[in-house]
Formats: sequence, structure tokens, C-alpha cells
Amino acid sequence: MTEIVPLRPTVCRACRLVNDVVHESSVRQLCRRCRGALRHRKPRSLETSSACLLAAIVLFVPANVYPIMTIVELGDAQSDTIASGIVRLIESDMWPLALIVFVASIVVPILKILGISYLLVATHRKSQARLVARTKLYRAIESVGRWSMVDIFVVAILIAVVRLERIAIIEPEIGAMAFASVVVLTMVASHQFDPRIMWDHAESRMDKTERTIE
Amino acid sequence: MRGSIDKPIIEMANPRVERCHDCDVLQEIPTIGHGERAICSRCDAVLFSHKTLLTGSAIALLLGGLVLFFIANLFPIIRLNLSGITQESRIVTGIVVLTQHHMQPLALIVFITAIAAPMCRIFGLLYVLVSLQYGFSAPHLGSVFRWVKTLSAWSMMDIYLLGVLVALTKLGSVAQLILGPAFYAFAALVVLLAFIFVALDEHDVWDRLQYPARAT
Repeated sequence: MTEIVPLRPTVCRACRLVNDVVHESSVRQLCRRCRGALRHRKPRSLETSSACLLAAIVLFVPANVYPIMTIVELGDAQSDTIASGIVRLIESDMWPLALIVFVASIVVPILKILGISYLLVATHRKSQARLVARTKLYRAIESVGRWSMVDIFVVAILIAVVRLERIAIIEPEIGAMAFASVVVLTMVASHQFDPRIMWDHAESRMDKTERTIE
Repeated sequence: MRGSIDKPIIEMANPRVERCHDCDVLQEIPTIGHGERAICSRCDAVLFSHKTLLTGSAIALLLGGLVLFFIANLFPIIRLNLSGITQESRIVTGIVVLTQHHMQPLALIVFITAIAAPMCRIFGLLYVLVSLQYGFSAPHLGSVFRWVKTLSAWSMMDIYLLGVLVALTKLGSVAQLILGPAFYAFAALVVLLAFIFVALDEHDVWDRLQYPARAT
């Protein structure tokens, strides 16, 4: 006797080919076309996403409090945090660049953390409200997250070009590590979030309501 | 190759019924013309878009991009002028200095986002497109093209470019910074790659890849 295994058409998130996968299987199934891991939904999506988000929130504090680099010029040391770097750009009349860095380094990380938190909480509560807006929010978070890395690159560029012992030297500081971790962790958190789960949850709740009405 | 035998029954009746990758709703995909896009009826995700960059042209542009990539990495990107002393730095210099300050994790992030991921994307896309154009049945085409797509989020040359501009203005008071030859190659490469990845029809490439009809 062969057991009848229920197959479920599932779209591959990478190449968008519809594959038949064994539902609720612990076996690793691969997409026929791109050989990527294929699951009906990303496994432990909400848990992984929440864990990365929590870690990012914790690291957000040192990322903004500690300096990201120190400029030593003729023995005179001056440390820059993310915020003081932006203030310095404004002081040197570079306000268009200051605005870009302000959006990339402060606005985007904060909105990202708030946005992913909202998505996770709403999905967890099986909310049916604003599903389309939430899916659009997910796509927006996915696309803008990378721009927060700009300050890390500024540090990597400046420490490379300014290293004249005793005259001028720029050193990276621990805040840069924390800030880069925040960017990477929020990126992983949004990658791990599977937007289809919030549609599933909303649908399952809709089904339940229909049954009670009957 | 798009066979009909591998499609579930509901999709055999209509050749263009697909699931949305973001909200999983099943829907009919209309035939779309030049410059048009098929949008999900429920969540507005772009399901398909018709783009026109030819594979041959994309290969030529990528080969040009490869040359720019090597110039961008081998030549100095920025020069410092401070009371007669000049100092040059390449992209890789920043990574080396980070490891000297015992910030290996940060060095790794910069290495991946500024050098490794863009390089893998250029080589990976060349591998896939050359195989399709000249009919080689090279191994792992699907996996390679998937990685080209996956790495797009982690390839941050455009952001690095912005970083160079911010760095230039930041040191205005301390020392004079001059852009090196690698900067211009880097800027051209960013524009070139953005054009290739926007104009290339990703779904057309997927459709042309061969794959088994049944899951193995």
C-alpha cells in the first residue's frame, strides 16, 4: 500500500515557479528550477524575525550612544557618533548630504524597527485590518533597509585614507560595530518575515467567522 | 522550457495562472506588452514585467562592467593631501585597516557588501547569460541565477558611492581629499549594473532555463 501524500502547489519565492510540495513535511524540498529550499511557508518565520528584531533593538542603543569613529589631529582627539556626524555636516553647510545621511542613518533604522514590530504584532494577533497596506509596508522595508549602511562605508573609507601617524589619524570605534549589526539584523528580520503568513492568518480567521455564522 | 505536464490541473486549463509570491493568491496573468507590468489583484505586487534588454547586449555590458570592476578595485579610490604629504587608499584598504583594529566582523560585512557580492553577481549573471546565449548546458544555472537575485540586497556599491561623497565633505576642515581614478570607474559601474538589472527580463531568463518536470 502506498500512502497518499497530500501535495500542495507552492510558489518558489526566488524564481516564482509553482512546485508541488509535500505539506507539513520535515523533509527538505528543493525547487525544481532554481534548487532553492522550498517550503509552503518560511519555517519559524515569525520566531526568527522577532529574535533578530529584538537583538537589533537592544543594539540600537549602543549604536547611537557610542562613537563610530575618532579623528585624532595633531594629538587633538574628537569622537563622532552617528548624530554628531550629521550635525557636523550641517555646520559645514552640506545640508543636502546631511539630509540624506539623516534619513539613511536615523529615520530608516527607526521606521524599520517600528515597521517590522507592527508587522509581527499584527500577524501574531491574526489581524485582518489593512492587509494590502501591510504587504506594501513589507515591500518598502525590504527595499530601503540597505541604505543605512552608508555611515559604515564612510568610516571604512576615512580610516583607510587618513592614517598619518602623529599628524592625523582616524580610528573606527565600537559604535560602528553595533550600528552595522543593527542594519544586518533588521535586514535579516525582514527577509525572514513571510508576508503570506499574515494572509493565511487573516483567511483562517475569516473561515472561522463564516462557520460560526452558519 | 515550459512544459504543461508539470503544471497542476487548475493551471493546465489556463496556461498563465500563477500564485502571488507575496500574498499567495491564485490568479490569471494577462498577456502583457512592452513596458507593461502584471500587478497582483490583491496586494499590488509586481508579478511580471515585460522588459527588452537582449541577452547578447547584456553580456556585452557585463564584460564592460567586469573591466570597470577591476579598475575600481585595483586603483586608488581616494587621495589625501595634507601639507605636502599624499596618501592613497583603495576599497580594500578600509577592510585591511578594520582588521588591524580587531574589527573582523565589520571588515567582513564591508568586504561582502562592497566587493564580494557585486563580484559574484557580475560573474554569476555572465555565467547564466553566456550559457543561455550559446546553448551550453552548464551545471547549476538555476542555483547561480537564484544567488544573483539573493545577493542583490547585500550588494551595496551604490551606497558605497554615496559613502565616498560623504567622506569627501567630512574632512573638508582637516585635509584635502581628491577622488582617484577608481572612483570614476566605480561610479560608471554602479550606473551600468543598475541599468542591466533593471532592463533585463528576469522572468524571461527563468523561462528559458531547463528544469525537470517532476520534483526529485
